[in-house]
Amino acid sequence: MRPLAALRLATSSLKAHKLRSALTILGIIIGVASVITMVAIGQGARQQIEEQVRALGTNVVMLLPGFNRSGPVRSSSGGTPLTDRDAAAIARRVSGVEVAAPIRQGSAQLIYAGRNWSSTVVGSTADIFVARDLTLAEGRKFSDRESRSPAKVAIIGQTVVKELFAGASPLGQTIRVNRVPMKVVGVLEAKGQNAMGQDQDDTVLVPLKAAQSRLLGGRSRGAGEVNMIAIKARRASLVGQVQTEVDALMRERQRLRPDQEAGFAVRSLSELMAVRTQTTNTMTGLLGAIASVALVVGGIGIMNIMLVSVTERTREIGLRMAVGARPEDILLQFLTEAGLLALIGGVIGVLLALALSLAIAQFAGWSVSIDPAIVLVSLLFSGGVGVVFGFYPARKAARLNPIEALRHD
Amino acid sequence: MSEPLIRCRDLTKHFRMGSEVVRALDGVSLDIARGEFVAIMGPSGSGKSTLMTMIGALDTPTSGDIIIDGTALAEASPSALADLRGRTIGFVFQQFNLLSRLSALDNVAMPQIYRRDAVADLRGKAIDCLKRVGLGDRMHHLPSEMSGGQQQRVAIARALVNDPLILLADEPTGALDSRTGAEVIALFQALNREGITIILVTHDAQVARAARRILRFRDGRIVADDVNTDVWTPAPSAA
Ligand SMILES: Nc1ncnc2c1ncn2[C@@H]1O[C@H](COP(=O)(O)OP(=O)(O)O)[C@@H](O)[C@H]1O
Ligand SMILES: [Mg+2]
Repeated sequence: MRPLAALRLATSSLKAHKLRSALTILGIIIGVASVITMVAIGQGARQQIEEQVRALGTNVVMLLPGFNRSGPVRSSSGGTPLTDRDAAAIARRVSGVEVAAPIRQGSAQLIYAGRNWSSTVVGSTADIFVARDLTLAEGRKFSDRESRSPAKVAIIGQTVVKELFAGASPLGQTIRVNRVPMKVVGVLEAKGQNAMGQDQDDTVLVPLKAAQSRLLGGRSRGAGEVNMIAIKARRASLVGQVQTEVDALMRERQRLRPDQEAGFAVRSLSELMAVRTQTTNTMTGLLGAIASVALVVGGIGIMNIMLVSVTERTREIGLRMAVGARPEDILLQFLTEAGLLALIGGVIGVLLALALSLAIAQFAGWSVSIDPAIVLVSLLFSGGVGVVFGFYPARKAARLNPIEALRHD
Repeated sequence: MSEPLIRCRDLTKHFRMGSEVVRALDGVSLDIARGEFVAIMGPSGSGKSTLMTMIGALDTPTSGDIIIDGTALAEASPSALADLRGRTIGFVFQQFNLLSRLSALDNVAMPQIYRRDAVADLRGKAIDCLKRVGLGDRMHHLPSEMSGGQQQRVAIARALVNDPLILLADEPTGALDSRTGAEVIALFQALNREGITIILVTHDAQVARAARRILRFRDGRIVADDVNTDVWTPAPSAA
């Protein structure tokens, strides 16, 4: 039998049972559409993270206290906490370092003209502008004198401007940060969310000493302690070397024996993001796997309907064999039917997935990314599902004995 | 006549029904020459249909040999058997066995899609066959829109569409009244005059008299093989 004849037979038999065919196709549509949509959501999330990593710059290294620390600053192993002197030493002694910005940060309650807003206060030096790629929208940075002293000046992010000043110019105004009056000297350019989904514009930048002694005091007041040090290598290719040297320098400064576990960690930002990307990949895989179940269920639907069809048409099969059909012809006829069901479902499923992804992007605001490869794979997969699940019923038909099939009722 | 068109030697067919064995064919040997018109009679259950399915390559004998047009069925591949069923033999059933979804023309054309050779104007051939059985004006009717006699003629046209050498008809008039039955018989005689070898199973002695040779079956054996000198020729009807 020629392929065209098989296709004609298949379409006419699908048309003969419209509702049944439509329901079977629906199963495949749901399967294909959910696979593509789920994977599109997962890939969208990953792409967003990758973009954020790229925006952060790949040549930034973070020096952090041990991860299982008990307090915000102190390291778990009882090792020495990080201080601004460590940052200075790194900037001076590690080659390939552009800046090393000590960071002391914590939450802060902001008040201005009766408006209240809780935000993150970040104490650092002017180097933070380089380390974090910050730019000023208006106003000025801290002066050298302000950087070295607990000066009561602040540079605020766009979210803070919006929440406290409702659009009015904040320059020269005094806001209260944890009850301490601070004068706004600058406003940061908007940066959007970071890879962790935090609003990077919801921040108040103050001189390091101001954060340490006035705003985020507590136990370590005056000790020069910081939460982390953001180190920027001169080039991306130097990141590995900087990491190693910072590690060695810090071990030396903290007088650790070679076998002793360090109470700090040196991480490149891309390493931190890699963990996050991994999680997203796992999520994508999981979503895809769950959706694939729907596709397999759709395939079982095809198998079911094909088995019914073979049983119903046993006499027809016998007759076709009696007038010269070979077993391969019968196999081809039923496989074509199953494949056609799957393919129609696949194509409609792809279209539905495109519409769904657009709708999700539009209304939920998630970023989605449809990979043409995934569309192709889903189409092939659904065609495969049709052939695989159609094969058993088709072979069953092809193996019928002509005379028994003819006598069937 | 040198080689017979159909040669059966010591055919047996046993069906196992639980512990019992039914001997549907019990040692049948038979030669049929090209161009013969043979009628088979015999009581119900005597093995007539079983013999037809063996000759039609729809089933295999328990023992014995069948050679059709030089092909030994026992040695033929499934694909060669399919070719034989499609090209050498045309089958006409008592219950017509038309596909209800297809028009008369599509039913007739159905065997053509399984041909492997390239044939010019398959459609025209199918139309010619329908005209040959007198249904040129019913081509696009569904089986449900036709009488029993018309349906059986569609089935005959289907059996003829690939120019078979042999027409096997198992009680083709069994479901028809005597007048339409006579029309079908007249058609068979005309086809036989054109050279097609015909084997016809019937209960009706009058119908059997249309053939020039009459076989009688009993308990899976041939008990009589007579030449019919008194051939009944029904008047060919206008369709
Ligand atoms: N598929 C089968 N299974 C079991 N017994 C069968 C089968 N086909 C035919 N028979 C038996 O074989 C015998 C011959 O049947 P059949 O050839 O149909 O007779 P006829 O056509 O002469 O009436 C009967 O006894 C019938 O019951
Ligand atoms: Mg019978």
